[in-house]
Amino acid sequence: MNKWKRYIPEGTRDILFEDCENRSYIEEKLRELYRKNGYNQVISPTLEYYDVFSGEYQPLPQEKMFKLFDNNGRILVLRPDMTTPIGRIAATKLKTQPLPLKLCYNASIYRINEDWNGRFSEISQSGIEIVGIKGSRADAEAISIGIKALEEVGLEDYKIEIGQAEFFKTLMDETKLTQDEKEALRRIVEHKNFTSLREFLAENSENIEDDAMDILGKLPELFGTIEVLDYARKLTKNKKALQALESIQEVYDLLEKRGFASHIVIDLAMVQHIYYYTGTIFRGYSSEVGEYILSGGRYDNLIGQFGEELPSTGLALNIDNIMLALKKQGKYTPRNNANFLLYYEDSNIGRSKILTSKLLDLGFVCEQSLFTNEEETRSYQQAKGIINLIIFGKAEDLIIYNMNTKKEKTIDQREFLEFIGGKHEID
Amino acid sequence: MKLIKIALTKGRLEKSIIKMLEEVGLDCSELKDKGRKLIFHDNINSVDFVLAKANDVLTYVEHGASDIGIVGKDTLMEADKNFYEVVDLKMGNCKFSIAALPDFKLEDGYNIKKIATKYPRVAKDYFRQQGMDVEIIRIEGSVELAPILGLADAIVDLVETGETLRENGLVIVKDICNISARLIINRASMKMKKDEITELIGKIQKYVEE
Repeated sequence: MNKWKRYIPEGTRDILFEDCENRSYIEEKLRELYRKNGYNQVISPTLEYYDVFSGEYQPLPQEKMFKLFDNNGRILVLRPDMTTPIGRIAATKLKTQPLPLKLCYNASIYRINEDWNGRFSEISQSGIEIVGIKGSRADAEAISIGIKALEEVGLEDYKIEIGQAEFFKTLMDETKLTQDEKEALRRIVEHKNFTSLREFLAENSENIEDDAMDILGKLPELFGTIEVLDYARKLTKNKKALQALESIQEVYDLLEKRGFASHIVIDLAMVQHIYYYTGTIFRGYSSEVGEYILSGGRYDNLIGQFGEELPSTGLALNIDNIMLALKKQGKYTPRNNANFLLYYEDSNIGRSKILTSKLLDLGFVCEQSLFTNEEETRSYQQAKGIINLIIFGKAEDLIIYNMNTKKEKTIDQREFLEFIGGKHEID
Repeated sequence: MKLIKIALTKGRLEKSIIKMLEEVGLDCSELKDKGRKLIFHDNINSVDFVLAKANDVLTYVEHGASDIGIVGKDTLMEADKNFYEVVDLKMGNCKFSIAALPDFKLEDGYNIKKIATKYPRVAKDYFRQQGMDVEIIRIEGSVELAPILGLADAIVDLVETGETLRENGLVIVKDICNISARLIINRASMKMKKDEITELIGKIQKYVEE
């Protein structure tokens, strides 16, 4: 009957000890960074109506959302994305607030994955949304916060790639391709599939202007350092496409002035979700993880579906992937273990309280023994590997046992406190 | 030089791939004398090779455990995963085809046709595009048996020479698409190891074109 009693669902996990601590540490660092930069936190419900996420700007296909029904038979989903709910909030509850809104969040999102492919259904995301403003300054701010966030948590060796959703869309507008053909071409470009691209362009040459032909043929190669932009400018005369390139340049210049240029690369063939995004888009990668560690971009049309036209941009950091990268770079804080285990009879509770608060002030981690006898306390110390055991003796005496040196000595409480200063072990 | 990890598909294609990798300047001596080892080093360049089953090549590359993979288009079509598919290596050429017993007609009648295949996604996508409603039955090996035993009306399978079909009295009803080996790249690797990887892609592209 209780076949699954001891198990957790596919794609979920229990997060324990050092994983938990490192995650909280990262989340706190990020929250602090957002707060210091003037972002206000919002928390939205885990359950939302399916309608919020359906339609033209659907963040992912319906079969990838976890669904259930409310008491009235309406379809609910576990939120598959944070930007859409924040858009909903901005267009409803916050519509009288001064713009731009600077919002931040830290939440789990839920997506259905194929079984057995090593992906999680519950993904921890932290990020910002800048709502109600256009322009490169906002775009650059979203990317800067992303870079600062990675620096703040201590990640090294990462790159942020910048692209422009309008660039490809504009080039498409110039062609006479059908919607299906455009989608086929988008997929080819997304996969940097040079062979198929050449074949596709040859087959559809009469529907594509010569000017577009040149640049489309080179599109998958148009990634790398900022020089790519100069090269791309020579390949097209399309005004809107040139404008899109110019907007990347503007964002790049702003980031360069902040000293972030060494982390930035350009990819003009970033064409994922180009119907959702409307301007500068970006993704962050680290050498240690095969997937992106952060992503974001400008989405000027998304919030319109909630009744307010609010051009916006945002950033989402994938906490799980950042943790993985940090772990592989050896920047993981080990599991927190107590420095002291305190054992005392009930009559000594008052004394122990004073000593504990002094030890805590000095930055030590102290566990109170919950056993009622010394014997069990001693074996607990061994099993848990807590270096120092303090037993409260008569009067002001403390008996201290160090499990590494296996030495035990009796010391006066005041003397002990003077002695201890900044040391973790007592010999 | 950053270390590049390449995952190769075991089996049929192995020899021609190794020949190509040697031509573009990689040292495959360990690969050619492999014994029971699973991982091989290039002693000259900063490159590691692994040999894996086709589906596993995709998994390793998608997760970034390998930077580069060489795998058949058939496996790519069936899997629908995310990476860059940069070069058609024009090796291991074959095609996806629909085959059946000679009296079968694809457009005949209004009954739902049963299709047996090792590639349910490829088959499903193709028939959906054609606007045809079919029932797909997944078979693990020797799909040719299914129409002969009356389990299915037709099959969707990889056809290289057509010899197996002929020997079992099946004929090709329609070709779906051509298949060949592809060079795939992990998305993060392409950005983080751009110089090393684009150089290798360039060389392989040139080799293929010659």
